[in-house]
Amino acid sequence: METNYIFLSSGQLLFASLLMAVNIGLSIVLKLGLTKQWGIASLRMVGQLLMVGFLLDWVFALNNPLWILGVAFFMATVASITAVGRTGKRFSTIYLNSFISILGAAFFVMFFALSGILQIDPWYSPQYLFPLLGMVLGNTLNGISLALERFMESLSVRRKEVEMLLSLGATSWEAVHELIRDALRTSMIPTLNSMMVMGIVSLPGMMTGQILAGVSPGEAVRYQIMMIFVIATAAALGATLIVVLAFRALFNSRHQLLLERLRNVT
Amino acid sequence: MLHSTGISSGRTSQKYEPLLSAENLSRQISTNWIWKNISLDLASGERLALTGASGSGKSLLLRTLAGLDVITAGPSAEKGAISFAAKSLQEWEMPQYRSKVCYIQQLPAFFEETVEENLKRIFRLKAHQHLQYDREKILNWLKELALPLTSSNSSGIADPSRFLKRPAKELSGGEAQIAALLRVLQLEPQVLLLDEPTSSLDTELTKLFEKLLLKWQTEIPEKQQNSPISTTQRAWIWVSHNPEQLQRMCSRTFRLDRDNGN
Repeated sequence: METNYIFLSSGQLLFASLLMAVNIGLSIVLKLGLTKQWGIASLRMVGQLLMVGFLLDWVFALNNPLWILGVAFFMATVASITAVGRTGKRFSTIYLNSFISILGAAFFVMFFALSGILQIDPWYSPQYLFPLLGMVLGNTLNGISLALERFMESLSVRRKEVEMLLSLGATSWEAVHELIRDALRTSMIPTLNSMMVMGIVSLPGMMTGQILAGVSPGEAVRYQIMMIFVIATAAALGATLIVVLAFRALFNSRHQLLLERLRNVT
Repeated sequence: MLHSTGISSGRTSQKYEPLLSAENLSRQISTNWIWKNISLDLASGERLALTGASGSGKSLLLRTLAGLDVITAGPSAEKGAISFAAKSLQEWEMPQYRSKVCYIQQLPAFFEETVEENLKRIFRLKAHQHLQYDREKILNWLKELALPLTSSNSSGIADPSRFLKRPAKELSGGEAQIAALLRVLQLEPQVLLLDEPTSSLDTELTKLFEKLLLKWQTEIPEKQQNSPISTTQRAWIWVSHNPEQLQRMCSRTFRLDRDNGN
């Protein structure tokens, strides 16, 4: 690829970090209480990204499928932990279920994208795999997190409704059907909204990145279009998987709601 | 049918195969035993009162009998059991069981739609696919509750068809209890597990409510040809803090804080 873009030196990055003075200044002047958080977040962001840069450079150079898969699994693990981390309630198998959902959703769309659409050879080519996987995981994480939070919350808030249906002969699936639908809608609406205004209100990150790297806008949008389809499906699949798994964890085969398995996180 | 009034143990005399039978039930919350090794029988056609001090676990027992709660092991790890119509709970498909042994919550839950839509919705459940919503039947029940009210009055059920069109979430506590009762009765259950069913009703409506239920209980259910439990009569277990009501509505009493543990 032609490199007609500007390489960013460390000095330039330092210069960019000066912008945080605005945020920190606002926090101090308006007493937002976010001064420390902005500092920590900035340091974390810089540290994490530099590390990822080094790591990926190394994995790219190795170009070994086992290492690539290892890193991919590690990313999926972190994503599944993060998805759970934002929920207010937990049950014992929640991390495992989150991991299964992320993995299931990501594997399906990645396979579809790498082998079906792009037909990359070899399939593990890190130049394609990692950017795609990163975006897939980020979106799936959001979908899972929203669906999970909403489902568990409404199970405890609408417990009486669910148990009323159960006590009148509903199967557990019939009793939570509305709640599941509601949780899935909640998790899918952000993706749907962003697709609706894509390119008008928001210029997606990947496309902007490609343009900065010298790809023509007309070509960059093509990648973006594929990517949106991929991540929308991943988020929807992940949300559906996690809600079904959470449903199975919180009911037994006797159609009994086991709400005592849900613990509040303080 | 047994008519031994007053307090007796949880067991009926063993002349009849009990309709609903609970054996050795225990319930623990954290480290406290709410009740231990309870055994209780309900005969066909029997009207049993369940009493006990607040916190003695009456609602928990009803929930357990309704199959809503898991039957936990007792203090010496003994396993409790429930059977209904000569079949253990394990053998029953839970939705089938629960459509015959119906639990009515003290504060009933409704969906955000009209009373009638709430009543109709239940027929969409697989367990009730052989039944159909019967508006006439509901209106007749409502009339029995509404017509005798002479002081045409505060009561929101005075006009039955208007009552059905009201949003269920706006019902008063008493109206909600009436709607919840009708929602269950239309399913033709065998056993009602009633958790303070009239706690929000005024005296006048309570009497009418009781009358309706007594009439329902002594009726011979409509469709019983192909039912394996065709000879059974309707029965209930009634939880109330009102001794006079239990006197009126029940023929036998099970005291949870005294009769448990035998």
